[in-house]
Amino acid sequence: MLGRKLRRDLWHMRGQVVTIALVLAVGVAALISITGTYRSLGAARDEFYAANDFPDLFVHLERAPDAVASRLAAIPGVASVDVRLVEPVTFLIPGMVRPASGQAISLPGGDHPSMHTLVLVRGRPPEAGRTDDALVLARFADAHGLEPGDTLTVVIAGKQLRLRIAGIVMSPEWVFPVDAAGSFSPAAVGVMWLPRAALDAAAGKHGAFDDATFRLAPGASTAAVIEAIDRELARWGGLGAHDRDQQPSHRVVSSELAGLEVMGSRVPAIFLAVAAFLLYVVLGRMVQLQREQIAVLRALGFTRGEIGRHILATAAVIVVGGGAIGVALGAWLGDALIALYREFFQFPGLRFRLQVDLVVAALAVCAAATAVGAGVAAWRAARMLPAEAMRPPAPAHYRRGILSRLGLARLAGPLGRMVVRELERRPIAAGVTVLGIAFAAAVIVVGRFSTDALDDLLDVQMMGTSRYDVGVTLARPVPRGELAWFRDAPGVLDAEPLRVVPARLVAGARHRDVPLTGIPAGARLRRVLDGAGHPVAVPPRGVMLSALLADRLGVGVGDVLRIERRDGDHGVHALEVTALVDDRLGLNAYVDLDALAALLGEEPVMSMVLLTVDPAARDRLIAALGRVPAVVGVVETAAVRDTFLAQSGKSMTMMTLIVSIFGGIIAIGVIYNTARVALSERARSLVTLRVLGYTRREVATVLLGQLAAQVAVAAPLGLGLGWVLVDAMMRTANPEDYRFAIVVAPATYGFATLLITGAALATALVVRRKLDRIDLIAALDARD
Amino acid sequence: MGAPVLTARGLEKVYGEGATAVRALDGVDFDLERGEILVLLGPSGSGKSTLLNVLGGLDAPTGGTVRYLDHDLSRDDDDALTRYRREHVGFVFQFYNLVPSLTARENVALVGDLVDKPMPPEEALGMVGLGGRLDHFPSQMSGGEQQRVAIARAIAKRPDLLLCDEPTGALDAKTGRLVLEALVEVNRRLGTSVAVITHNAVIADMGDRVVQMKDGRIAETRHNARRRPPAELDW
Repeated sequence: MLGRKLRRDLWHMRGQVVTIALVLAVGVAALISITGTYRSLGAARDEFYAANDFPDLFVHLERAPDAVASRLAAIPGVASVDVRLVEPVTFLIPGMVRPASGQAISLPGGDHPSMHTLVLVRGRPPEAGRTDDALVLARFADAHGLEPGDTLTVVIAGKQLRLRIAGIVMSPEWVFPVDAAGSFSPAAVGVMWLPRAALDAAAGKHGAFDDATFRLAPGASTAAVIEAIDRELARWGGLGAHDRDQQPSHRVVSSELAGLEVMGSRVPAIFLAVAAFLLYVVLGRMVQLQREQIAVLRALGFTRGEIGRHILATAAVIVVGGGAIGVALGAWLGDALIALYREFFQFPGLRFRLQVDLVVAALAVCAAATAVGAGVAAWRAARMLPAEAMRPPAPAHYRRGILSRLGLARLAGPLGRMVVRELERRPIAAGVTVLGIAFAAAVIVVGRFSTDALDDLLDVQMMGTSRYDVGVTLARPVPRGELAWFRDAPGVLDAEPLRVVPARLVAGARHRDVPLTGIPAGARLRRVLDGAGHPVAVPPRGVMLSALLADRLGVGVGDVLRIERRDGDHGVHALEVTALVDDRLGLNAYVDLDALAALLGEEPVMSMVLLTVDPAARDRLIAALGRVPAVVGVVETAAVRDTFLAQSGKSMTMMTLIVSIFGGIIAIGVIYNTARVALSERARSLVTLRVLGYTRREVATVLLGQLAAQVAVAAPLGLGLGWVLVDAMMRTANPEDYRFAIVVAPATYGFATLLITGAALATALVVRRKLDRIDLIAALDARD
Repeated sequence: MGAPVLTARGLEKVYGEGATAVRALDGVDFDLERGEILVLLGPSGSGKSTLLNVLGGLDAPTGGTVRYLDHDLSRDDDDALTRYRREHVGFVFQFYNLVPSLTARENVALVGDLVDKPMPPEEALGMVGLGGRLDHFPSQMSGGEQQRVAIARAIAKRPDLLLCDEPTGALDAKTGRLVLEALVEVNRRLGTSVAVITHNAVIADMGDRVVQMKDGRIAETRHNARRRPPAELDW
C-alpha cells in the first residue's frame, strides 16, 4: 500500500519531481560530458603519442655524420634515437597566390622505410627502392584536395622535384602544423615524408643527418640527457635539444588542452556541487510538506524505519531517474562535443569515452546529497508524535524581526507584512533559497566568462599588440636598409622591422628558452601592452621581461641574465633586466632593436617585417612577397584571429551554450521548488485571504512578493559569487600561454540576471495558475 | 425581523456524474432574515457546509438560484463572487484560519484594506473581549482567543452576513460559550444577520430560528420563542 502511495505521491508532486530530477541530471551531465570530453581528448592524445612513438626529446643541427648517431644512442638515459633529415621545402600548388612552405622529412629505415611514427590515413607506404614516393600530412592534403596518386611539385634546396603522393598520413609531431611565426595554419604549412635516399639526393647531405629525436629510458633525467646531447652536438652546430614542451605542435596541443582544463574540470565540479546542494535543500522541504501524512502513518502503526524507507524510496526514484537522464544526456553531449573537437585535434581513435569513475562519482555525490537531504527531513518527520496529526495544525510561530522593527512591515501593509514576517520567521530557509538562486546565477556567469575572457584577449591584447596586417618572416636577418624595398612594395602603407633571436635565458640554476624580441623605439605596429591594455615602451637598454617570466626565472629589475644565443654564432651575452611588464600573451623578453644589435655586436638587422596594407592591393602584395626567396613566411593577422576563433571559438560557444542552458535549468529548479513549497505551506493562509475577499492578484502578491524579494537579493549576490568563482578558477589555471584577465562583460551579468529573472517569471506564472486553481473549500478543511 | 437578506430556491449541488454522483444539496428553499441569528443543525454529510459555502459565495450551485437581496449570485463569475464576499460576507471557520504571520490586530486590519469604512481593529477586538491582546500572534493565543480574533476579523468590515461553520467545534464548552457570546454581541450591536452551522443541538437554543438539514434537504424549520443567552447553554 505504501508503494501505491509512493506512486501517487510522485505523480502528485510531478512538477517538483521533474525539476529536481533535471537539476540533478544537469549536474551529472555536466561532469560526464565536459570533464569526460577533456579526459577523452587527453586519452586519445596519449594513445596517439604512444602508438606512434612520439619522441621525448628533439634536436636540430647544422649537419653531422651518420656515425654520430651511435654516440647519441650511447648517452645514458637514451632508450632509442632516430636520426633524419628535415629540410625546408616549398610546395608549388596550382592556384596558390603564394607557394606553401614547410618541411620534408626523411623516413627511417633506408631502402625499406619504416612508418612507425606515422598513421596511414589513405593510400599506401612508399615502395621500396622508389625515390619519388612521398607521404603528405593529412591536414595539408585535405586543405588542398590532394589524394594518393596525385603528383606534387616541390622545391628542395633550390631543386624542383616531381613526386607522386603514395599516402596521406598523420603524425604526432604534426598534430598542429605551425609556421615560422608559431601560428597554426594547415593550408600554408606543408609537411611531407620521403625515403631517406630521395631526400639525401635532393638536399645533398649524403651520409649525414641534421635532425634527431630521442626516446628516454624510464627514470632518465631529461635535463641531464639534454645536456649530454648538446655537448655531443656542439661541434655539429646543434641548436639545443629540447623536450616536448618546446615542440611546436605539442605546445599547441597542450595549450589547447590546458585551456579546456579550466572549463573541463572546474566548471562541472561547481555544477555538481550546486546541484547536490539544491537536491539537499529541495528534497528536505518536500519531505517537510508531508509531515502530517507521515504522522498519520505513524498513528496507523507504521514504524519509523518503514516510513524512513518509504521517504528514501521517493528520493531514490528521483536520484535514479535524474541520474539516468544525466548519464544519457552527458553521453550524448559528450559525443557532440567530441565531434566538434575531432575536426580540430584529428587524433586517430578520438571518441567520447564514458568514464565510469565520473559516472560513479557524479551519482555518488547526488545520492549522498539526496540521502542526507531527504534523510534529515524524514528523521525529523518520523520523530513527530503521531497525535500531532490528529490535532488541527498549530499556528506557526512568528515574531517581529529586524525588518519589522525597522518599520518596513508597517510600510508594506498587511500583505507586505506577511511577506516580511515569512522571511523573518525562517531566515535560514530563506537564506538557503537565496543562496540556491545565487548559485544558479553564478554558474551562468562562470559559463560565459571564458567567452568574455577570450574576447578580451583577442580584442584588447592580440589586436592591440599586433597592429599590422601582414607579418613577413625572413630566411635570415637582413640589413634594416632593406625596409625600403618593403615600403615600396604594392599596397604597403607602413612597414616596421622586428628582430627575433632564439635564445636561452639563464638565471643561476634556472633557465627558459625564450627568444629576444627586438622592437624599434616608437614602434607602432608591434606594441607591448600591460595587463590593463596600456602600451608600454621598451626601455632603451637592457631587457624588459614578462612579469611571469621574471617570476619563473626568479629575477627582478636590476638582475643580470645570461643570454645564450641559439642561432648564428651561439654567442653568450649578459643583459640586465631593466623593466617588467604584466603582459598577457606568452612569456616574452623585449629588447630595444638598436640595443639588441649592439649587444650581439652586429649591424642593425631585422628578421621580420611588419606591414600595414591597403586591402585592395593585398593579393598583389602577397604574390610579390612569394617571388622573394628571402621570404619564408607570410602571416596575415586577420587569418590568425580567424583561426584562433575557429579553434577555440566554436567549442567555447558550444560549452557556453551548454553551461547557460544548465544554469537556466538549475535556476528554474530552485525557484520553482521554492515557490511550490511556499505555496503548499501557506495554502491555508492564502485561501483565507481569498475567502476574506482578496482577489487572486492580491493573494498572488503575497507568495510572489516573497519570491521576488528572494530573487532580488539573490541576483546581485549570484553575480558577485560568479566573479569569486571565476577568480578562484583562474588562479589554478596554467598561465604561461594566456593570462586571462578576470573580465566579466556587463553583457554576461545582464544575461545571467535576465535568465534568472526569466526563470522566476516562468515559475511565477505556473505558481499563479496553481494558486488560481486552489479549491477554496478543500483548502479550508471545511467538513460536513 | 425584516425582509430576507439571502434567498435560495430549489438549490442543488451535485458532485460527480452518473452513478457516482453525490447530491449534497437536493432542492433547498431557504431564507436568511435581516438581523436574525439562524442555527443550521444536521449530522455530517447533511449538506449544511455546502449550503453555507454556496450562500457565502465560496461555491457555485449546480441548480436553483441564490439571491443576495435582489442580486442573483448563482450567475456570478469568480470576480463577482470575490466582490460579494469582500463587501458583504464575514466568515468564521472551525479552525479559525488566522494568518499565522500577522498579530491579532493585523489579522483584523487585513480586511480594513478591503472595504471603505472598516471598523478599527481595536474596536472589533474589543467587541469580542480581546482588547488586551492586540499584539499577540496566533501562536501566542488559546483556541478560543484565536476564534474570537477570527470573529473580530469577520465583523471588522461591517458585513451584512456573518457565516460561521462549526465556530465552537474545536473548543471546550467554556471557551465555546465565550465565542458564541461574541457572535450574539455582534448581532445585537451591528444588526448583522448570523448563520451558525453546528452539529451540537444545544447551541440551537441561542438562535431565532433553527433549520434542521438531512440528506441535502431541509427536514424541519422551527422558531425559538426566546433566544437563550450562550451563558445558559451547557454541553
